[in-house]
Amino acid sequence: MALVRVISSDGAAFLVSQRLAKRSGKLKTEIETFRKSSDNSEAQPEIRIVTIRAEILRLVLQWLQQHQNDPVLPANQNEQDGRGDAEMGQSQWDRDFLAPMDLGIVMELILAANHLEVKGLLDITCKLVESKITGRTVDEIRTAFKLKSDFKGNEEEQTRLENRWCVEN
Amino acid sequence: MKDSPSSKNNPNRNCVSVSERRKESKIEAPPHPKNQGTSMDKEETPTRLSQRDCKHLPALPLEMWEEILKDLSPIDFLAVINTCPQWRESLESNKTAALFPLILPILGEQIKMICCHVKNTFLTWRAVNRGARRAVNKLACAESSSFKKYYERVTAESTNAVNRYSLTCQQNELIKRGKTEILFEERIADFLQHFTAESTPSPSLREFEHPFFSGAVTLCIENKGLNQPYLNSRRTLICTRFGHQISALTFCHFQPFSHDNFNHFMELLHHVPNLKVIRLDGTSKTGTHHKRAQILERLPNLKHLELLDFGDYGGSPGPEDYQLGGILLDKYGPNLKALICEEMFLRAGNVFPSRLSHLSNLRCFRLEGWFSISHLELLTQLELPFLEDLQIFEKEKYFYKSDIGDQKQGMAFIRMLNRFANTLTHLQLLAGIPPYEGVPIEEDEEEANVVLHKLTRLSSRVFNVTSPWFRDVFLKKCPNLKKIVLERPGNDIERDLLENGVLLGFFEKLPNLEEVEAYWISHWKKPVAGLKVKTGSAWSVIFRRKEELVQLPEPVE
Repeated sequence: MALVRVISSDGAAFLVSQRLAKRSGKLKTEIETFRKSSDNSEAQPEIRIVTIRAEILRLVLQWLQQHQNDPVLPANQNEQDGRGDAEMGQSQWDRDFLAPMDLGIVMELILAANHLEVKGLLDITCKLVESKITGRTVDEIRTAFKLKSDFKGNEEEQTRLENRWCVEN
Repeated sequence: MKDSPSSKNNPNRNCVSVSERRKESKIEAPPHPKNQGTSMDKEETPTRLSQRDCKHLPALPLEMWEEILKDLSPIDFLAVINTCPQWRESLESNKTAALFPLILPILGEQIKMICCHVKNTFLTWRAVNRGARRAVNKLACAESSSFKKYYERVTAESTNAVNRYSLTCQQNELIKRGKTEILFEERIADFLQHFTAESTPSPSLREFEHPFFSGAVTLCIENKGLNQPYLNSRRTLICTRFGHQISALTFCHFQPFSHDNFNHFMELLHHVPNLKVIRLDGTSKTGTHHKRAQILERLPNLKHLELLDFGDYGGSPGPEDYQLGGILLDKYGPNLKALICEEMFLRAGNVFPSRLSHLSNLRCFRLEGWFSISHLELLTQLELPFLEDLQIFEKEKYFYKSDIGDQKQGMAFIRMLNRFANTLTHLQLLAGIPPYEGVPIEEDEEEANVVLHKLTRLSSRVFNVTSPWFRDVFLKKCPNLKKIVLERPGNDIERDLLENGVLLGFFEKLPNLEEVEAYWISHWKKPVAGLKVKTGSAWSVIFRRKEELVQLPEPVE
């Protein structure tokens, strides 16, 4: 089985099959680039991911491992309104996988899935955050994400006026 | 990995070394999330920086580090928490706030909504804090600040490839439909009242930064008789005060310019120094009030201008030497990276060919029209030494025309492509090419054999691919094609061709082809059966349903 070493920003190395790694668009490209530039076809690619730390990279690879036999992208079962990908693609395993994570980890996972081009993982993590960020007031969002208003002077009032101009009839 | 409380005073205690060798772990069967901690624990854990590795880091109390790190940009914050466990731990309470601006653009694309649910989401995020406002502003002005993004959006809209359900797309539509962008006559007074309180100017109102936070504005200039001087002065006031924020400007004018209006148009251009995109919508005649040389002299130097969009511009092929589009092309042609126009515009007597001869930096060219011989010959005369993306788009999808389909037309197409053989990387045939079925006659063989070495991506209407000429002549010129995108079928004939999979066999002789992508609608016949489909290092077929990739057929050996 062809393997690839994937190294996190904090130096942890994961040895995974190339078949699994290629489920990530980014890793697939890196492996193919390595193949083209390497004289030795048997050489083992080594890929450093400088923007993802070990704990997060491990979660991504774990999710990929679980979903290695899935179609590349889950079917959209409800095309009437464009929704449905994440709900339909999310298994009990996914729910258990995400359940213990705090919001900070989920946000790191979104960034990692986006960087590594793992669409399915991106779908389910974004879906998790969606409920905390859509249809909420500014104060509710600030509370959920532990944000503070750092607007200076009349910036907040200006922003409110600008927004109002966009939506008022 | 948690640190012992006793080590908390040493900021370097938990840093990791990339240079140190470490054990490798092989990912076996993953544990169930509820039972984590078995096989995945075989993964190698990061080791800490040795004393020697860390000695260059100043030993400061943790509180000082927190003070130093608290104002990091989101990107720097991510870099810090990705490299040093101790800093990560000390910054843990700030993590969601710091990463919030980074995930907004991703959420904007991932979250899907129908329009009625969308109303204030984007704008609410914008009001959360400064970082969020910056992130949303960046999203909103993405296409007005990059000619590539603008060009891609125009392409995506004409091929139905745009993801209309994404929050970003929905919100941008909302903003476009709203008042921010469109300043027709009746809205000008409202705008000034909202943003400038013109009757009682206040210092704070001069500080408004983003009334046009998408960076794109449409101004409609019409002849309004006695009301004209008032409207012109109001528009001038808006551009004087906020013009530096505008990066994409659409001018609508549906009547020939009056003398005053034309002067007004010229004046407005002087107040928008950061323009990257100009789009003309309406008619082209400027009247006979000014000489071309005078107009050119009065046009400002818009050094950031990269794209002219004349796709909805009613250029008439008359002798007028004052057509605005032609004059703008004269002035700004050497700067342009992208041009969008109709075939009729090129045919206008004052535009072609001399005015297109100085588009020396053009990278992307979208021509709207169809494949007539004269159209192809027009293109063949262009000097575009850096052209990378050529797109021919047909607004109305003609399949057959009485005057196409002969050998001359096929070779005109080949000669046109050869003109750009050294630079073209992406060809988009969003129009019906001539269904010529012969092979080149002898004297044309040299032209037919010119290879488009750099062409790696082809987008085409389904119908084009069925032409034997396309397969036998055109595809041989493109040995390095990696991806073919078949656009959404425009009718039942094209749909049948896709459903029956007959197209895929045409591509077998392309040695570097990796992927053929086509739209797919869920209620269509399943495409897999009977298809010869390869994956991996050869090529695969990805079917698209609406905007979503939905199916990757299993390999068939």
